Amino acid sequence: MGEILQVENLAVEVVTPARTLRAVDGVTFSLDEGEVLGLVGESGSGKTLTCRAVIGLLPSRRLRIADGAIRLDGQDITRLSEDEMRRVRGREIGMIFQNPTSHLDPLMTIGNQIAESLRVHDGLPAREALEQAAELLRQVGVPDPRTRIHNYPHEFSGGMRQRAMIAAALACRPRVLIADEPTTALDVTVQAQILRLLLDLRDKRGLAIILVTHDLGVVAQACDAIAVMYGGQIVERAAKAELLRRPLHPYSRGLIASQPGSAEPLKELPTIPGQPPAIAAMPSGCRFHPRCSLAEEACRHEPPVLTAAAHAHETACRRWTALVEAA
Amino acid sequence: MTIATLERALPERRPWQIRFGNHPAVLYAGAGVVLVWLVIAVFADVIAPYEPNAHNLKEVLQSPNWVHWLGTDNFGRDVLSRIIHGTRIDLQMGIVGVALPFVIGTMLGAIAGYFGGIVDTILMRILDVVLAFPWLVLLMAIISLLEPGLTSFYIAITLVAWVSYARLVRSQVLVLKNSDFVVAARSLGYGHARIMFRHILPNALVPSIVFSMSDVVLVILAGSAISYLGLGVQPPTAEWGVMIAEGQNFIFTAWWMTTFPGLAIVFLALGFSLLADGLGEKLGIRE
Repeated sequence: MGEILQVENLAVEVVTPARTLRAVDGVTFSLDEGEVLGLVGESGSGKTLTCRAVIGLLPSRRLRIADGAIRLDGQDITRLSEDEMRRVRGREIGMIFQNPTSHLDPLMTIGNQIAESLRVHDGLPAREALEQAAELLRQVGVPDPRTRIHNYPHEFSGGMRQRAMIAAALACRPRVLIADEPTTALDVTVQAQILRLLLDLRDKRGLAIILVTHDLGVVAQACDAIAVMYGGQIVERAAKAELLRRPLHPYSRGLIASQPGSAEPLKELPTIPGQPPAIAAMPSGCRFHPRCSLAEEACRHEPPVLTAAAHAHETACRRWTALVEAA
Repeated sequence: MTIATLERALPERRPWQIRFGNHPAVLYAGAGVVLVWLVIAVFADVIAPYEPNAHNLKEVLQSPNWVHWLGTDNFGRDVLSRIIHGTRIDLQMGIVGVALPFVIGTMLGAIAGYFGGIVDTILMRILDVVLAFPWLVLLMAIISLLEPGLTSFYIAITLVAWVSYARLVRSQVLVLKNSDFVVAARSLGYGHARIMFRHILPNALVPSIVFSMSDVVLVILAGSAISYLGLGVQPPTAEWGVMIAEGQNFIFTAWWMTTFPGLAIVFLALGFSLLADGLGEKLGIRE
């Protein structure tokens, strides 16, 4: 399995008249064909911005990629012109979003929305594109696709809309799919179906998926590898089973412990004290130190470095040995 | 959360909001009235019992009777026939007088909203200037700079009325260009033109279409007012405003000369008002 996507030392900055702030700082990861990478973290940890940077659609003009490279098959796509990037979007990298309702055009039929991508990128004639749209809808598990292509988004249920969005994103067979909280807005039962669909597509097409979520349950079900983000940085990275069983960063440990179900029943759920840091007031040294019970003097001043603690397991915590002993 | 969802799911139904199937009853009522007027305009030659401009000095100023249902004017012209033929002109004024500003206002508003920056600033300042004048006065001023007539009226109404559409469309485009489905469209690699014309504009037009229906009423009223003042359609052409102007000298002796063209204006306006109301309700827009 070959490496498709490499993100190296990515930094995204917010430019305000007063000063420039780093929202994403030194993020590095890579993605293999057929791999599902979970990007986990609290709101504001920079996971969505990282994804938007990868597809070249930062949500505001005030944001810019300040440093680093995003390589698709070895080519740095941060250097592409807008026209060239347009060919990458939809064709090489697809994206699906948290809220399928608001991410579909309310005045266009589902079939036309899926067919549009085929017409733009592959130049298919309208009829053929619509036929393929029906086939795609069938592949993502929408029953009776030949009739459903003529429906508008409001005639679809939430789960069906998410399936339609997946069909549209995958119409031109991109090899990388960025899924930004794809199941957060859905019912639990539908969540599982959508995750299974994504894994199914991964198996059939060798699709590489970046799965953004704050839900460790989703991670446990779907991911091969996990990168935990905090304050715009990756603080720990490992294979799924390894990280869930033996977290080597106090933040990851706190995240796992605060999942309902992992504590004893009827006991109060453990929480991580304090608030995630505001981007304008990032703590010096390790960004987690004000909330960390293991913090020592060095944590306050020296910026942490992601280092290998075990085989294929990297942590940014300098005190990880103490963490292991404490357990 | 569930209660809030429920409340949204069940639209508040007021007793006078009668519905047939999926559509509010006012929509049918409005569409029906407008349709009747359209039929009258198209088949005016067949329906009208007399020539609209045929003088008949033996039958001047007759009150409504079985021969001339709505009476005759001071030249013996049949008021009913003149109203029927006037429908053509007044409907045309309403439709053309809305279509031109609609198209131009939409284009300018979309450009201002999508590109923003200096283009937006300049267009909005021009718009402020137009809005600073009372529009009827501005309308008359522009027409008197040109020459009285229907063409001048269309030019003037376009220059005055585009601002409403530009403002509506601009504000919609501003919201829509950052909306989620536009982000999704961009994530699929579509270009600016496609996103603007296929995704943003159709959604941005909805409030303008509803507004244009009530705007038809305003434009017809403005058109007949302008004709009444002698700046629009010129006599002897049968137009309702002109007919009212001609009849006002006889208002105490021949009330039918002014009353019936006035009622015609009211009913045409009513039709479009109901249509606008029904469309607004149907599309979920409240003014």
